[in-house]
Amino acid sequence: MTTDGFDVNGDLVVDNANDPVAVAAVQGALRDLGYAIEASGAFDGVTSDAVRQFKIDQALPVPPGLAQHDGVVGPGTSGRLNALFTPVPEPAPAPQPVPPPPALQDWAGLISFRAPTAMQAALNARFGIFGTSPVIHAIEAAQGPVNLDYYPVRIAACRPMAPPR
Amino acid sequence: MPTDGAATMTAENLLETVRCNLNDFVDGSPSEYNFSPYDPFIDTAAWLPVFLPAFPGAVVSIDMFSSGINVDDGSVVLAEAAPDHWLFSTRWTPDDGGHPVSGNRQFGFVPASAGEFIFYTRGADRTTSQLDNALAATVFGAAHRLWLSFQRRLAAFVNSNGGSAGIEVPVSNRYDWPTVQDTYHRPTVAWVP
Repeated sequence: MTTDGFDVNGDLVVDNANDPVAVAAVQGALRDLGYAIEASGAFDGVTSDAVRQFKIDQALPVPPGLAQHDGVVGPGTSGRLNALFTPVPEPAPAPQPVPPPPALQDWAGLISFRAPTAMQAALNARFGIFGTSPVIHAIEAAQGPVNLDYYPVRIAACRPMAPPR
Repeated sequence: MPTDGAATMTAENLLETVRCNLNDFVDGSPSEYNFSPYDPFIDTAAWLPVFLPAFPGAVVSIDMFSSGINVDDGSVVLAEAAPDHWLFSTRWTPDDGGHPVSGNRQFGFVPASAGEFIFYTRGADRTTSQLDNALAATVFGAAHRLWLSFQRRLAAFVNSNGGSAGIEVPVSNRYDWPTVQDTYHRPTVAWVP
């Protein structure tokens, strides 16, 4: 362990050699979890005992080479603290059911239309089949939502007569 | 109905006039779309025959412009033709590649009350590729502007040629495909591979 807060693996550790702000954060977290500890910023014996007890309570694995948990906050301890204090995300809203389409009967013929077989065959013969090119533009094989549109113009069969003078 | 200079057009005459002069009924280059026969030696005779109605199977190429730049092309085939309507289906062609959307668009008219007709274009389509789908707002937005211009120009043509026309409220919506497919996708013709 080094004195600048990182162990030989480069992982952040929190013990008495660390920044008081980081120590106070750990103390505050442990206090909020019910441990009898003050957020003093000093890594004292009470803090070390609380950390050790936290590891035991959370059933964290004892690091290789140690017979029992020590009072140092390593990556496993800080990770567990972070996990405990990470806000539980709000459940994603259930996807809204797609409303059934309104009366689209006017488009039904266009949605289902395919050129007559003889015409398809003639066009395929004319243009050939080029590998995997999408020779057939099948609406059912296309992408995304379906566009249904309609652009009407009302036209009088006879021009209205001008009003009499 | 408008006149053709001599006589009042029938609804069928007007629809045929629109088809044969489609570029005059939409905002064209440099900002929007240009329609032309795909192959002048084959499709001009089929799409714009001199004395006969168009032949189903004619392929029409569409130049798609944005701010004066030809950003994309697409082909459609005249898949159905009748006195009261015609129908374009999008398709892949060697020169134009894939069309940004896959589906069908109909142009036609139906009698309405009080001696009126409703002329319309109606479409059902989805973006063809994942890239097209990523640009769906652009693709469908451009199409929306195009067909709004169709309404505006058709009404203007009628009103400036002795007729009386009014633009009705357009509809342009996107719906969840699986939901629509479950209810309305009932093809009766198989794809020819």
